Amino acid sequence: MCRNTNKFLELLKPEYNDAVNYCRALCAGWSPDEAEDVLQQALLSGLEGFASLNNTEKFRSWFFKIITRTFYSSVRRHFWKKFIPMDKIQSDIPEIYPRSELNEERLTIGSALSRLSSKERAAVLLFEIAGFSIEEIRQMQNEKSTSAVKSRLSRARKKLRRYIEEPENVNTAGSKIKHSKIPFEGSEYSGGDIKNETIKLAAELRTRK
Amino acid sequence: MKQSNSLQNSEQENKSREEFPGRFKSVLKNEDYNSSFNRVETWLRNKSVQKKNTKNERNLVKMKNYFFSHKIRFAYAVIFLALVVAACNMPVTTHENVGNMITWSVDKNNSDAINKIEKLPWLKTADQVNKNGNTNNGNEGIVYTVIFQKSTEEEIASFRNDLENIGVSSLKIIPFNNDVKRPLYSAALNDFFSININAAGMSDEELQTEVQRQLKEEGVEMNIQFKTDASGKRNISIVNLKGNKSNTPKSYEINIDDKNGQEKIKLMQKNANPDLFKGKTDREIKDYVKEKNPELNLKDNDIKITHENGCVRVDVERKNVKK
Repeated sequence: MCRNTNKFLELLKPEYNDAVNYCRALCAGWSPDEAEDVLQQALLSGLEGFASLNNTEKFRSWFFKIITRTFYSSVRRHFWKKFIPMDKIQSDIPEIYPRSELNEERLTIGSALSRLSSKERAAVLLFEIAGFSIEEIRQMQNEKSTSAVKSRLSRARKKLRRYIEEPENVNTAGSKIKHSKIPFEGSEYSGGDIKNETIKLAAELRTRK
Repeated sequence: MKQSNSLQNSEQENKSREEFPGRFKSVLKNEDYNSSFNRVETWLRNKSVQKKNTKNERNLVKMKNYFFSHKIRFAYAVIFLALVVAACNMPVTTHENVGNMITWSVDKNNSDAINKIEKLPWLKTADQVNKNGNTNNGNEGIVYTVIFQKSTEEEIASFRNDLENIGVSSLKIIPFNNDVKRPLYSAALNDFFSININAAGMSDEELQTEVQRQLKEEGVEMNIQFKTDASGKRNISIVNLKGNKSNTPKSYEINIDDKNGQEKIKLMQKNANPDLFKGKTDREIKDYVKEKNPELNLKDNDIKITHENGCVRVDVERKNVKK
Protein backbone atom coordinates (compact mmCIF):
# COMPACT_ATOMS: atom_id res chain seq x y z
CA MET A 1 0.00 0.00 0.00
CA CYS A 2 2.76 2.37 1.03
CA ARG A 3 4.80 1.59 -2.05
CA ASN A 4 1.71 2.14 -4.16
CA THR A 5 1.05 5.48 -2.47
CA ASN A 6 4.59 6.63 -3.19
CA LYS A 7 4.36 5.58 -6.81
CA PHE A 8 0.92 7.15 -7.15
CA LEU A 9 2.13 10.46 -5.74
CA GLU A 10 5.21 10.35 -7.89
CA LEU A 11 3.12 9.98 -11.03
CA LEU A 12 0.54 12.44 -9.81
CA LYS A 13 2.97 15.30 -9.20
CA PRO A 14 3.58 16.29 -12.87
CA GLU A 15 -0.14 15.97 -13.67
CA TYR A 16 -1.39 17.58 -10.46
CA ASN A 17 -1.81 21.14 -11.68
CA ASP A 18 -3.61 20.13 -14.89
CA ALA A 19 -5.83 17.71 -12.98
CA VAL A 20 -6.79 20.32 -10.38
CA ASN A 21 -7.46 22.90 -13.11
CA TYR A 22 -9.51 20.38 -15.04
CA CYS A 23 -11.54 19.45 -11.97
CA ARG A 24 -12.28 23.09 -11.17
CA ALA A 25 -13.35 23.83 -14.75
CA LEU A 26 -15.46 20.68 -14.78
CA CYS A 27 -17.23 21.80 -11.64
CA ALA A 28 -17.89 25.25 -13.10
CA GLY A 29 -20.82 26.86 -11.37
CA TRP A 30 -20.28 24.78 -8.25
CA SER A 31 -18.79 26.11 -5.07
CA PRO A 32 -15.07 25.50 -4.34
CA ASP A 33 -16.13 23.04 -1.61
CA GLU A 34 -18.02 20.94 -4.11
CA ALA A 35 -15.14 20.97 -6.57
CA GLU A 36 -12.83 19.87 -3.75
CA ASP A 37 -15.23 17.05 -2.89
CA VAL A 38 -15.00 15.78 -6.45
CA LEU A 39 -11.21 16.07 -6.44
CA GLN A 40 -11.01 14.33 -3.07
CA GLN A 41 -13.15 11.44 -4.29
CA ALA A 42 -11.10 11.17 -7.48
CA LEU A 43 -7.81 11.15 -5.58
CA LEU A 44 -9.01 8.47 -3.19
CA SER A 45 -10.45 6.35 -6.01
CA GLY A 46 -7.20 6.78 -7.89
CA LEU A 47 -5.13 5.74 -4.89
CA GLU A 48 -7.39 2.76 -4.22
CA GLY A 49 -7.44 1.56 -7.79
CA PHE A 50 -3.83 2.36 -8.59
CA ALA A 51 -2.78 -1.27 -8.26
CA SER A 52 -5.00 -2.10 -11.22
CA LEU A 53 -3.14 0.31 -13.50
CA ASN A 54 -0.86 -1.91 -15.54
CA ASN A 55 0.77 0.68 -17.74
CA THR A 56 2.00 3.66 -15.76
CA GLU A 57 2.57 5.57 -19.01
CA LYS A 58 -1.18 5.87 -19.25
CA PHE A 59 -1.46 7.40 -15.78
CA ARG A 60 -2.57 10.80 -17.08
CA SER A 61 -5.50 9.56 -19.15
CA TRP A 62 -6.39 7.03 -16.42
CA PHE A 63 -6.51 9.68 -13.72
CA PHE A 64 -8.42 12.19 -15.84
CA LYS A 65 -10.92 9.45 -16.58
CA ILE A 66 -11.36 8.93 -12.83
CA ILE A 67 -11.96 12.65 -12.31
CA THR A 68 -14.50 12.68 -15.13
CA ARG A 69 -16.36 9.66 -13.74
CA THR A 70 -16.33 11.06 -10.23
CA PHE A 71 -17.84 14.24 -11.59
CA TYR A 72 -20.59 12.28 -13.36
CA SER A 73 -21.31 10.41 -10.12
CA SER A 74 -21.56 13.69 -8.23
CA VAL A 75 -24.08 14.97 -10.77
CA ARG A 76 -26.11 11.76 -10.38
CA ARG A 77 -25.75 11.87 -6.61
CA HIS A 78 -27.82 15.04 -6.46
CA PHE A 79 -30.72 13.16 -8.04
CA TRP A 80 -30.53 9.91 -6.09
CA LYS A 81 -30.04 11.63 -2.77
CA LYS A 82 -33.72 12.53 -2.86
CA PHE A 83 -34.76 8.87 -2.80
CA ILE A 84 -31.99 6.76 -1.32
CA PRO A 85 -30.09 7.32 1.90
CA MET A 86 -26.50 7.97 0.90
CA ASP A 87 -23.43 8.56 2.95
CA LYS A 88 -22.26 12.13 3.13
CA ILE A 89 -18.84 12.78 1.70
CA GLN A 90 -16.54 13.43 4.64
CA SER A 91 -14.72 16.39 3.21
CA ASP A 92 -11.32 16.65 4.86
CA ILE A 93 -9.09 17.46 1.90
CA PRO A 94 -6.96 20.57 2.47
CA GLU A 95 -8.23 23.76 0.89
CA ILE A 96 -7.12 23.93 -2.73
CA TYR A 97 -9.38 26.34 -4.56
CA PRO A 98 -9.49 30.01 -3.56
CA ARG A 99 -12.78 31.05 -2.00
CA SER A 100 -12.96 34.37 -3.79
CA GLU A 101 -12.52 34.28 -7.52
CA LEU A 102 -12.07 37.82 -8.71
CA ASN A 103 -11.21 37.14 -12.32
CA GLU A 104 -14.13 38.35 -14.40
CA GLU A 105 -13.03 36.42 -17.46
CA ARG A 106 -12.93 33.24 -15.44
CA LEU A 107 -16.42 33.91 -14.18
CA THR A 108 -17.73 34.41 -17.71
CA ILE A 109 -16.29 31.19 -19.01
CA GLY A 110 -17.21 29.33 -15.82
CA SER A 111 -20.76 30.50 -16.19
CA ALA A 112 -20.81 29.43 -19.85
CA LEU A 113 -19.33 26.03 -19.00
CA SER A 114 -21.88 25.45 -16.25
CA ARG A 115 -24.62 25.68 -18.85
CA LEU A 116 -23.23 22.76 -20.86
CA SER A 117 -24.31 19.21 -20.12
CA SER A 118 -21.85 17.22 -18.02
CA LYS A 119 -20.69 15.11 -20.99
CA GLU A 120 -20.28 18.13 -23.27
CA ARG A 121 -18.38 19.95 -20.57
CA ALA A 122 -16.06 17.02 -19.96
CA ALA A 123 -15.45 16.50 -23.68
CA VAL A 124 -14.59 20.13 -24.38
CA LEU A 125 -12.32 20.42 -21.34
CA LEU A 126 -10.52 17.15 -21.99
CA PHE A 127 -9.86 18.26 -25.54
CA GLU A 128 -9.09 21.94 -25.05
CA ILE A 129 -7.57 22.10 -21.60
CA ALA A 130 -6.14 18.65 -20.94
CA GLY A 131 -5.08 18.21 -24.56
CA PHE A 132 -6.37 14.69 -25.08
CA SER A 133 -7.04 13.40 -28.57
CA ILE A 134 -10.53 12.61 -29.78
CA GLU A 135 -9.74 8.90 -29.67
CA GLU A 136 -8.65 9.17 -26.01
CA ILE A 137 -11.82 11.09 -25.16
CA ARG A 138 -13.87 8.43 -26.94
CA GLN A 139 -12.33 5.82 -24.65
CA MET A 140 -12.81 7.95 -21.55
CA GLN A 141 -16.45 8.64 -22.35
CA ASN A 142 -17.13 5.04 -23.42
CA GLU A 143 -18.39 6.06 -26.84
CA LYS A 144 -18.54 3.62 -29.72
CA SER A 145 -17.30 6.00 -32.39
CA THR A 146 -15.17 9.10 -32.58
CA SER A 147 -17.88 10.83 -34.59
CA ALA A 148 -20.04 10.94 -31.45
CA VAL A 149 -17.23 12.77 -29.62
CA LYS A 150 -16.61 15.06 -32.61
CA SER A 151 -20.24 16.11 -32.81
CA ARG A 152 -20.38 16.57 -29.04
CA LEU A 153 -17.31 18.79 -29.19
CA SER A 154 -18.68 20.79 -32.07
CA ARG A 155 -22.00 21.26 -30.27
CA ALA A 156 -20.27 22.23 -27.04
CA ARG A 157 -18.01 24.75 -28.80
CA LYS A 158 -20.92 26.40 -30.54
CA LYS A 159 -22.82 26.67 -27.30
CA LEU A 160 -19.79 27.99 -25.44
CA ARG A 161 -19.12 30.61 -28.10
CA ARG A 162 -22.72 31.73 -27.92
CA TYR A 163 -22.74 31.90 -24.13
CA ILE A 164 -19.42 33.76 -24.05
CA GLU A 165 -20.24 36.19 -26.85
CA GLU A 166 -23.63 37.02 -25.42
CA PRO A 167 -22.82 37.44 -21.74
CA GLU A 168 -25.97 39.45 -21.13
CA ASN A 169 -27.95 36.23 -21.60
CA VAL A 170 -25.73 34.46 -19.14
CA ASN A 171 -25.52 37.27 -16.67
CA THR A 172 -29.19 38.00 -16.29
CA ALA A 173 -29.97 37.25 -12.71
CA GLY A 174 -32.82 34.84 -13.44
CA SER A 175 -30.81 32.84 -15.90
CA LYS A 176 -27.87 32.47 -13.62
CA ILE A 177 -30.01 31.35 -10.73
CA LYS A 178 -31.67 28.85 -13.01
CA HIS A 179 -28.44 27.34 -14.23
CA SER A 180 -26.32 27.51 -11.17
CA LYS A 181 -25.82 24.32 -9.20
CA ILE A 182 -27.29 23.78 -5.78
CA PRO A 183 -24.56 23.07 -3.27
CA PHE A 184 -24.17 19.55 -1.91
CA GLU A 185 -26.20 18.70 1.10
CA GLY A 186 -24.06 19.05 4.14
CA SER A 187 -21.24 20.90 2.46
CA GLU A 188 -20.37 24.16 4.05
CA TYR A 189 -21.49 26.78 1.61
CA SER A 190 -18.74 29.32 1.77
CA GLY A 191 -20.62 32.01 -0.04
CA GLY A 192 -17.92 32.16 -2.69
CA ASP A 193 -20.39 31.99 -5.53
CA ILE A 194 -22.60 34.68 -4.08
CA LYS A 195 -19.56 36.85 -3.76
CA ASN A 196 -18.62 36.13 -7.34
CA GLU A 197 -22.10 36.95 -8.48
CA THR A 198 -21.96 40.29 -6.67
CA ILE A 199 -18.62 41.09 -8.24
CA LYS A 200 -19.96 40.16 -11.64
CA LEU A 201 -23.05 42.30 -11.16
CA ALA A 202 -20.89 45.24 -10.05
CA ALA A 203 -18.69 44.83 -13.14
CA GLU A 204 -21.74 44.77 -15.35
CA LEU A 205 -23.10 47.95 -13.78
CA ARG A 206 -19.72 49.62 -14.30
CA THR A 207 -19.77 48.77 -18.01
CA ARG A 208 -23.31 50.11 -18.35
CA LYS A 209 -22.24 53.42 -16.81
CA MET B 1 0.48 13.07 -52.36
CA LYS B 2 -2.25 11.68 -50.21
CA GLN B 3 -1.89 12.31 -46.49
CA SER B 4 -2.26 9.46 -44.08
CA ASN B 5 -5.46 9.27 -42.02
CA SER B 6 -3.71 9.89 -38.72
CA LEU B 7 -2.00 12.99 -40.10
CA GLN B 8 -5.29 14.32 -41.41
CA ASN B 9 -6.97 13.63 -38.06
CA SER B 10 -4.20 15.36 -36.18
CA GLU B 11 -4.43 18.42 -38.47
CA GLN B 12 -8.19 18.47 -37.98
CA GLU B 13 -7.76 18.32 -34.23
CA ASN B 14 -5.20 21.11 -34.21
CA LYS B 15 -7.47 23.25 -36.35
CA SER B 16 -10.43 22.71 -34.05
CA ARG B 17 -8.27 23.47 -31.01
CA GLU B 18 -7.48 26.84 -32.54
CA GLU B 19 -11.19 27.59 -32.80
CA PHE B 20 -11.47 27.65 -29.01
CA PRO B 21 -10.73 31.15 -27.75
CA GLY B 22 -7.11 31.07 -26.63
CA ARG B 23 -7.55 33.58 -23.86
CA PHE B 24 -10.17 31.43 -22.20
CA LYS B 25 -7.97 28.41 -22.56
CA SER B 26 -5.21 30.21 -20.70
CA VAL B 27 -7.67 31.38 -18.06
CA LEU B 28 -8.76 27.83 -17.36
CA LYS B 29 -5.39 26.19 -17.73
CA ASN B 30 -2.88 28.57 -16.23
CA GLU B 31 -4.12 28.82 -12.69
CA ASP B 32 -1.24 27.54 -10.56
CA TYR B 33 -2.24 25.08 -7.88
CA ASN B 34 1.17 23.45 -7.48
CA SER B 35 1.63 25.09 -4.09
CA SER B 36 -1.14 22.92 -2.68
CA PHE B 37 0.47 19.66 -3.79
CA ASN B 38 2.47 19.17 -0.59
CA ARG B 39 -0.63 19.53 1.57
CA VAL B 40 -2.56 17.12 -0.64
CA GLU B 41 0.36 14.70 -0.57
CA THR B 42 0.38 14.67 3.23
CA TRP B 43 -3.37 14.26 3.32
CA LEU B 44 -3.23 11.35 0.86
CA ARG B 45 -0.50 9.63 2.88
CA ASN B 46 -2.59 9.96 6.04
CA LYS B 47 -5.61 8.60 4.22
CA SER B 48 -3.58 5.69 2.98
CA VAL B 49 -2.49 4.80 6.51
CA GLN B 50 -6.03 5.27 7.85
CA LYS B 51 -7.41 3.01 5.17
CA LYS B 52 -4.88 0.33 6.01
CA ASN B 53 -5.94 0.44 9.68
CA THR B 54 -9.67 0.39 9.05
CA LYS B 55 -9.59 -2.22 6.31
CA ASN B 56 -10.23 -5.03 8.73
CA GLU B 57 -13.46 -3.54 10.00
CA ARG B 58 -16.14 -6.16 9.53
CA ASN B 59 -18.63 -5.56 6.74
CA LEU B 60 -21.45 -6.51 9.10
CA VAL B 61 -20.50 -3.69 11.45
CA LYS B 62 -20.33 -1.29 8.51
CA MET B 63 -23.78 -2.32 7.37
CA LYS B 64 -25.16 -2.03 10.89
CA ASN B 65 -23.76 1.47 11.23
CA TYR B 66 -25.10 2.37 7.81
CA PHE B 67 -28.64 1.22 8.67
CA PHE B 68 -28.67 2.90 12.05
CA SER B 69 -27.43 6.20 10.69
CA HIS B 70 -30.21 6.32 8.08
CA LYS B 71 -33.14 5.06 10.11
CA ILE B 72 -35.66 7.64 8.88
CA ARG B 73 -34.78 7.27 5.23
CA PHE B 74 -35.01 3.51 5.49
CA ALA B 75 -38.37 3.84 7.15
CA TYR B 76 -39.55 5.95 4.20
CA ALA B 77 -38.17 3.40 1.77
CA VAL B 78 -39.98 0.55 3.57
CA ILE B 79 -43.26 2.49 3.65
CA PHE B 80 -42.88 3.26 -0.05
CA LEU B 81 -42.28 -0.40 -0.87
CA ALA B 82 -45.21 -1.47 1.27
CA LEU B 83 -47.43 0.97 -0.60
CA VAL B 84 -46.25 -0.39 -3.95
CA VAL B 85 -46.95 -3.97 -2.84
CA ALA B 86 -50.37 -2.97 -1.50
CA ALA B 87 -51.19 -1.15 -4.73
CA CYS B 88 -50.21 -4.19 -6.78
CA ASN B 89 -52.46 -6.40 -4.69
CA MET B 90 -55.41 -4.02 -4.86
CA PRO B 91 -58.22 -5.93 -6.57
CA VAL B 92 -59.37 -4.40 -9.82
CA THR B 93 -62.43 -5.35 -11.81
CA THR B 94 -61.92 -6.27 -15.43
CA HIS B 95 -64.58 -7.11 -17.99
CA GLU B 96 -63.90 -10.31 -19.84
CA ASN B 97 -65.81 -11.69 -22.74
CA VAL B 98 -66.46 -15.35 -21.97
CA GLY B 99 -68.57 -16.12 -25.01
CA ASN B 100 -71.26 -14.99 -27.43
CA MET B 101 -74.80 -16.10 -28.07
CA ILE B 102 -76.26 -15.78 -31.58
CA THR B 103 -79.99 -16.10 -32.09
CA TRP B 104 -81.93 -15.91 -35.32
CA SER B 105 -85.16 -17.23 -36.73
CA VAL B 106 -86.03 -18.62 -40.09
CA ASP B 107 -89.35 -19.47 -41.76
CA LYS B 108 -90.16 -23.13 -41.22
CA ASN B 109 -91.23 -23.46 -44.85
CA ASN B 110 -88.01 -21.89 -46.18
CA SER B 111 -86.28 -25.22 -46.71
CA ASP B 112 -83.53 -23.64 -48.81
CA ALA B 113 -82.47 -21.35 -45.97
CA ILE B 114 -82.74 -24.16 -43.42
CA ASN B 115 -80.51 -26.39 -45.60
CA LYS B 116 -77.94 -23.64 -45.95
CA ILE B 117 -77.97 -23.05 -42.20
CA GLU B 118 -77.52 -26.74 -41.46
CA LYS B 119 -74.54 -26.83 -43.81
CA LEU B 120 -72.76 -23.94 -42.14
CA PRO B 121 -69.39 -25.36 -41.05
CA TRP B 122 -69.08 -23.25 -37.92
CA LEU B 123 -72.44 -24.44 -36.58
CA LYS B 124 -70.85 -27.83 -35.89
CA THR B 125 -68.07 -26.22 -33.86
CA ALA B 126 -70.49 -24.31 -31.63
CA ASP B 127 -70.50 -25.20 -27.94
CA GLN B 128 -74.27 -25.35 -27.82
CA VAL B 129 -77.02 -25.32 -30.53
CA ASN B 130 -80.74 -25.15 -29.76
CA LYS B 131 -83.58 -25.21 -32.27
CA ASN B 132 -87.08 -24.27 -31.11
CA GLY B 133 -90.33 -23.92 -32.99
CA ASN B 134 -91.99 -20.52 -32.81
CA THR B 135 -95.12 -18.91 -34.16
CA ASN B 136 -95.06 -15.23 -34.90
CA ASN B 137 -98.15 -13.50 -36.38
CA GLY B 138 -99.38 -16.86 -37.57
CA ASN B 139 -96.09 -17.71 -39.32
CA GLU B 140 -94.35 -20.83 -38.11
CA GLY B 141 -90.63 -20.48 -37.74
CA ILE B 142 -87.55 -22.02 -36.18
CA VAL B 143 -85.51 -20.06 -33.65
CA TYR B 144 -81.84 -20.99 -33.50
CA THR B 145 -79.82 -20.27 -30.38
CA VAL B 146 -76.10 -20.90 -30.71
CA ILE B 147 -73.47 -20.36 -28.02
CA PHE B 148 -69.78 -19.93 -28.72
CA GLN B 149 -67.15 -19.80 -26.01
CA LYS B 150 -63.79 -18.21 -26.72
CA SER B 151 -64.74 -16.77 -30.06
CA THR B 152 -63.16 -13.67 -31.50
CA GLU B 153 -64.97 -10.59 -32.72
CA GLU B 154 -63.84 -11.37 -36.25
CA GLU B 155 -65.29 -14.87 -36.12
CA ILE B 156 -68.62 -13.60 -34.82
CA ALA B 157 -68.68 -10.94 -37.55
CA SER B 158 -68.08 -13.57 -40.23
CA PHE B 159 -70.89 -15.78 -38.78
CA ARG B 160 -73.17 -12.78 -38.92
CA ASN B 161 -72.26 -12.20 -42.58
CA ASP B 162 -73.03 -15.83 -43.42
CA LEU B 163 -76.44 -15.61 -41.75
CA GLU B 164 -77.31 -12.29 -43.36
CA ASN B 165 -76.43 -13.76 -46.76
CA ILE B 166 -78.82 -16.64 -46.12
CA GLY B 167 -81.54 -14.14 -45.23
CA VAL B 168 -82.46 -15.04 -41.68
CA SER B 169 -84.59 -12.73 -39.57
CA SER B 170 -84.34 -11.42 -35.98
CA LEU B 171 -80.57 -11.90 -35.94
CA LYS B 172 -79.15 -10.99 -32.55
CA ILE B 173 -75.69 -11.32 -31.08
CA ILE B 174 -75.48 -11.21 -27.31
CA PRO B 175 -72.00 -11.12 -25.79
CA PHE B 176 -71.50 -12.75 -22.37
CA ASN B 177 -69.39 -10.45 -20.30
CA ASN B 178 -68.07 -11.44 -16.96
CA ASP B 179 -66.70 -9.08 -14.34
CA VAL B 180 -63.54 -10.56 -12.91
CA LYS B 181 -61.88 -9.24 -9.78
CA ARG B 182 -58.19 -9.88 -9.59
CA PRO B 183 -55.11 -8.15 -8.17
CA LEU B 184 -53.62 -5.40 -10.29
CA TYR B 185 -50.45 -7.35 -11.10
CA SER B 186 -52.51 -10.38 -12.11
CA ALA B 187 -54.66 -8.21 -14.39
CA ALA B 188 -51.51 -6.83 -15.97
CA LEU B 189 -50.13 -10.32 -16.47
CA ASN B 190 -53.41 -11.67 -17.80
CA ASP B 191 -52.28 -10.97 -21.34
CA PHE B 192 -49.12 -12.93 -20.84
CA PHE B 193 -49.25 -16.68 -21.14
CA SER B 194 -46.39 -19.00 -20.39
CA ILE B 195 -46.11 -22.77 -20.44
CA ASN B 196 -43.26 -24.71 -18.92
CA ILE B 197 -42.56 -28.29 -19.93
CA ASN B 198 -39.87 -30.65 -18.75
CA ALA B 199 -39.20 -32.62 -21.90
CA ALA B 200 -36.55 -34.91 -20.47
CA GLY B 201 -37.46 -38.49 -21.34
CA MET B 202 -40.36 -37.45 -23.57
CA SER B 203 -40.62 -38.61 -27.13
CA ASP B 204 -41.23 -36.11 -29.94
CA GLU B 205 -44.87 -37.14 -30.18
CA GLU B 206 -45.45 -36.90 -26.43
CA LEU B 207 -43.86 -33.48 -26.31
CA GLN B 208 -45.84 -32.31 -29.31
CA THR B 209 -49.11 -33.52 -27.77
CA GLU B 210 -48.31 -31.94 -24.41
CA VAL B 211 -47.40 -28.54 -25.88
CA GLN B 212 -50.44 -28.49 -28.12
CA ARG B 213 -52.72 -29.57 -25.30
CA GLN B 214 -51.55 -26.70 -23.11
CA LEU B 215 -51.77 -24.27 -25.98
CA LYS B 216 -55.29 -25.41 -26.84
CA GLU B 217 -56.38 -24.88 -23.24
CA GLU B 218 -55.45 -21.25 -23.73
CA GLY B 219 -57.32 -21.13 -27.03
CA VAL B 220 -54.19 -21.00 -29.17
CA GLU B 221 -54.22 -22.90 -32.43
CA MET B 222 -50.62 -23.64 -33.13
CA ASN B 223 -49.23 -26.61 -34.97
CA ILE B 224 -45.86 -27.18 -33.43
CA GLN B 225 -43.70 -30.12 -34.49
CA PHE B 226 -40.68 -31.75 -32.90
CA LYS B 227 -38.33 -34.06 -34.79
CA THR B 228 -35.18 -35.61 -33.46
CA ASP B 229 -32.54 -36.15 -36.12
CA ALA B 230 -29.90 -38.86 -36.33
CA SER B 231 -27.43 -36.86 -34.24
CA GLY B 232 -29.93 -36.55 -31.39
CA LYS B 233 -30.76 -32.89 -31.95
CA ARG B 234 -34.38 -32.00 -31.49
CA ASN B 235 -35.68 -29.69 -34.20
CA ILE B 236 -38.63 -27.46 -33.42
CA SER B 237 -40.81 -26.05 -36.15
CA ILE B 238 -43.94 -24.00 -35.88
CA VAL B 239 -46.01 -25.07 -38.86
CA ASN B 240 -49.10 -22.99 -38.44
CA LEU B 241 -49.93 -20.23 -36.01
CA LYS B 242 -53.45 -18.89 -36.04
CA GLY B 243 -53.24 -16.97 -32.80
CA ASN B 244 -55.46 -16.99 -29.76
CA LYS B 245 -59.20 -16.77 -29.90
CA SER B 246 -59.64 -14.02 -27.38
CA ASN B 247 -60.14 -10.46 -28.43
CA THR B 248 -57.02 -9.07 -26.87
CA PRO B 249 -53.52 -9.71 -28.17
CA LYS B 250 -51.40 -11.99 -26.03
CA SER B 251 -47.77 -12.84 -25.73
CA TYR B 252 -46.70 -16.44 -25.36
CA GLU B 253 -43.64 -17.92 -23.86
CA ILE B 254 -42.93 -21.63 -24.16
CA ASN B 255 -40.09 -22.96 -22.04
CA ILE B 256 -39.04 -26.49 -22.88
CA ASP B 257 -36.46 -28.11 -20.65
CA ASP B 258 -34.77 -30.90 -22.53
CA LYS B 259 -31.98 -33.17 -21.42
CA ASN B 260 -29.68 -31.19 -23.72
CA GLY B 261 -30.58 -27.73 -22.51
CA GLN B 262 -33.46 -25.28 -22.54
CA GLU B 263 -35.35 -23.86 -25.48
CA LYS B 264 -37.33 -20.70 -25.06
CA ILE B 265 -39.86 -19.73 -27.70
CA LYS B 266 -41.29 -16.28 -27.45
CA LEU B 267 -44.21 -15.23 -29.58
CA MET B 268 -45.84 -11.87 -29.57
CA GLN B 269 -49.22 -11.11 -31.03
CA LYS B 270 -50.06 -7.58 -32.03
CA ASN B 271 -53.10 -5.94 -33.52
CA ALA B 272 -52.14 -5.46 -37.14
CA ASN B 273 -53.23 -2.78 -39.53
CA PRO B 274 -55.23 -4.67 -42.20
CA ASP B 275 -54.05 -2.24 -44.89
CA LEU B 276 -50.40 -2.56 -43.91
CA PHE B 277 -49.40 -4.59 -46.96
CA LYS B 278 -52.06 -3.25 -49.31
CA GLY B 279 -50.58 -2.55 -52.74
CA LYS B 280 -47.11 -3.64 -51.65
CA THR B 281 -45.01 -6.05 -53.67
CA ASP B 282 -43.53 -9.16 -52.07
CA ARG B 283 -40.12 -7.50 -52.21
CA GLU B 284 -41.42 -4.48 -50.28
CA ILE B 285 -43.15 -6.71 -47.71
CA LYS B 286 -39.97 -8.73 -47.16
CA ASP B 287 -37.94 -5.55 -46.73
CA TYR B 288 -40.51 -4.25 -44.25
CA VAL B 289 -40.43 -7.47 -42.18
CA LYS B 290 -36.62 -7.47 -42.17
CA GLU B 291 -36.49 -3.82 -41.17
CA LYS B 292 -38.96 -4.36 -38.31
CA ASN B 293 -37.06 -7.40 -36.95
CA PRO B 294 -33.38 -6.52 -37.27
CA GLU B 295 -32.43 -8.74 -34.32
CA LEU B 296 -33.59 -11.87 -36.21
CA ASN B 297 -31.16 -11.25 -39.06
CA LEU B 298 -33.70 -12.61 -41.54
CA LYS B 299 -32.91 -13.71 -45.04
CA ASP B 300 -35.32 -13.59 -47.96
CA ASN B 301 -35.80 -17.37 -47.76
CA ASP B 302 -36.97 -17.13 -44.15
CA ILE B 303 -39.97 -14.99 -45.08
CA LYS B 304 -42.86 -16.68 -46.87
CA ILE B 305 -45.65 -14.60 -48.30
CA THR B 306 -48.96 -16.09 -49.36
CA HIS B 307 -51.91 -14.25 -50.87
CA GLU B 308 -55.32 -15.66 -49.89
CA ASN B 309 -58.60 -14.04 -50.93
CA GLY B 310 -57.02 -10.61 -51.09
CA CYS B 311 -55.36 -11.11 -47.69
CA VAL B 312 -51.63 -11.24 -47.26
CA ARG B 313 -50.17 -13.81 -44.90
CA VAL B 314 -46.57 -13.44 -43.85
CA ASP B 315 -44.81 -16.39 -42.22
CA VAL B 316 -41.35 -16.20 -40.84
CA GLU B 317 -39.75 -19.62 -40.72
CA ARG B 318 -36.46 -20.05 -39.01
CA LYS B 319 -35.11 -23.39 -38.03
CA ASN B 320 -34.07 -23.12 -34.44
CA VAL B 321 -31.88 -26.03 -33.55
CA LYS B 322 -30.74 -26.51 -30.01
CA LYS B 323 -28.47 -29.23 -28.87
